[in-house]
Amino acid sequence: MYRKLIILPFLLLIAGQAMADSPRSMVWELRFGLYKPDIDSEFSGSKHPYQDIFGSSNHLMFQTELGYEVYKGVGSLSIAPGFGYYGVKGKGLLQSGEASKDTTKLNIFPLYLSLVYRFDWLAIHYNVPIVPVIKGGFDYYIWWITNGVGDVATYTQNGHTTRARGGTFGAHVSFAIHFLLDWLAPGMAQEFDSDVGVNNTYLFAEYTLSFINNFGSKSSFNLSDTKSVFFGIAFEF
Amino acid sequence: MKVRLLLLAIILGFGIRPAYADINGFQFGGITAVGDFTLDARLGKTSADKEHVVNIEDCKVYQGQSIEIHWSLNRTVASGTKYAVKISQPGGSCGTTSLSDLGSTCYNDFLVSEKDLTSTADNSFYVPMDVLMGGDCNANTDKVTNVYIVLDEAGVVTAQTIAFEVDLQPPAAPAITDITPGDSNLTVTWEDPDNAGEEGLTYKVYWCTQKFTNSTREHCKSSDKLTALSYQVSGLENDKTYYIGVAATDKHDNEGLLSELQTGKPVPVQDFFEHYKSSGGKAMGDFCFIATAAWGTKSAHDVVILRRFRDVFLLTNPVGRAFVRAYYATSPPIARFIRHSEILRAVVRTALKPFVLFARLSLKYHVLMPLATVLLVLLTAGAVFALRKRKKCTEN
Repeated sequence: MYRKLIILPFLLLIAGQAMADSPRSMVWELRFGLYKPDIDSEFSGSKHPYQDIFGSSNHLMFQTELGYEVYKGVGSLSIAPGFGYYGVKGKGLLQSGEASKDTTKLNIFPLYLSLVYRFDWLAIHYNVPIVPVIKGGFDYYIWWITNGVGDVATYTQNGHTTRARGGTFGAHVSFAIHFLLDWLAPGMAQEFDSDVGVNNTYLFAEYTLSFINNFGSKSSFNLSDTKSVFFGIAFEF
Repeated sequence: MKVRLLLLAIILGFGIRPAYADINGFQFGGITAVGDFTLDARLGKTSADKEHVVNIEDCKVYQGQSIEIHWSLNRTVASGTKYAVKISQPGGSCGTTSLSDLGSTCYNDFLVSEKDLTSTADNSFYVPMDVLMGGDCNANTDKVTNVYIVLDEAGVVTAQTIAFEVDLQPPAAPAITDITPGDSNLTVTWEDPDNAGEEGLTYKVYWCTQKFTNSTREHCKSSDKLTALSYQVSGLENDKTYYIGVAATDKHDNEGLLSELQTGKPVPVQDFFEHYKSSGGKAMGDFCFIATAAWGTKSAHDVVILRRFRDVFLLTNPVGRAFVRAYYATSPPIARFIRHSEILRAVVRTALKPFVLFARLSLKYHVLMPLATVLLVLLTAGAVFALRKRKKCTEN
């Protein structure tokens, strides 16, 4: 028992040194989370077209980003462009208001650019495997809606036809906790670094507030969601 | 082992014989039409073909006609070699151990009676198609007719078989189980238990605004060949009744009878965008900001010019596309800023006028754009180079 206690600090020291082995400049994140655009907020509770068709549940959004570290000192700062996808299906409505058999789908392709600050100073110097992360950036959500035959939907009023596709600008801020997997298996982490070049691997949970409404425009979809939680994996290399 | 024996029994039972070289050095030389009609490719008319098929439609074309089958040997033969050609009844076989035997299920006459083989090259014989096909295109049978070339070479008798599958059996009619109405569409679902297990089966859906029959189905609209058991018919008119029928087609292109006709009526359905807009939603399908904000409407003439310029000159090359991306990334805050101020909008309209003029000229005289693009690239490259040089000097 005492031998293990004596050896443990040396093991931690080795693990800590493994983090500093090869240069690192990029971080790739892959994440999944539940998202629901706040489209119905446009109607102040009187109507709820999104809920009528798609229900009130959140659905899966997938995102990935690749960040380039521009600063490494007390923590690291990176610029990270990314993209993702969200799709939700529902049944169109008959004139009676009942659900038809036709499927209609809302597709969103989010593009974004984030500034990411990772407080990994404790992880690097004291082998603390928890890394808090904060992000902020701008978004452009490309969206399109399909009708029962799979075509982009249209809406005609007063002889003018609008096609159901467009782009909505916005911004986001995220708070995440990253858990350093290398701490659990430093030997494997070392091999991963020497074989593939990945310095550190993290699992993370991230809370995101997105404000995607063309900066408050009244003639825009509100694709915001201030209650998104994502889980994912990150590779620093 | 048991499977192989079973397969051999099935093959022998159906009288199927592959066109392999039982006669040493036999070479199949192809099939040609005797007279003015066209042989379908499925007859296997080229020398490389191994399979020979006649379907119902072929049967109707080939009735009363004849074909010429060509063959040769790639070796010399002994002097005095003789040969004969026989043809079986559909589903039958002929004797292959002598030149004179026919057999009980063989056609009762020789295609070629015993004769000397004077040349090993460019031999041929005629086959009446009514004999090959059995004479009745409505027989509703799927049988094999074998043509035998029997060679007697110095007392050694060998035989080459050329098998023709005469498939005069159309598949059974499927049964429509459901027609689901949607917006300008009907989803048709059917089942086909009578053709279960048949390989290569496809389906065709027919639809008309009036009743139709097997003989008038060609006047209706139809789908392509389908392998699934459902199909969505789109492009229909809501609240109009349509008659739907489904037919199966086998691997030899025999199309069967139509299913019992069913009717369906597409109904208006609100997709999400329609429901959103009819609820009073204001979102527009749009990607552009600044120009619309400055002129106040997407349809303003100068906006139209700029959009056309974008579509014709910017989105068609990488530099242009990069510029458009940058524009979309930076323009919204500017658009919001100017939208509610007439003075700012007027300033922007004036500032954009030279660009509108450039766009108009470029659309009119296409040569300007390539020159402008090259100029822009050179300017950008020059600026980057100058900046880098300046930075290096500063560092040194």
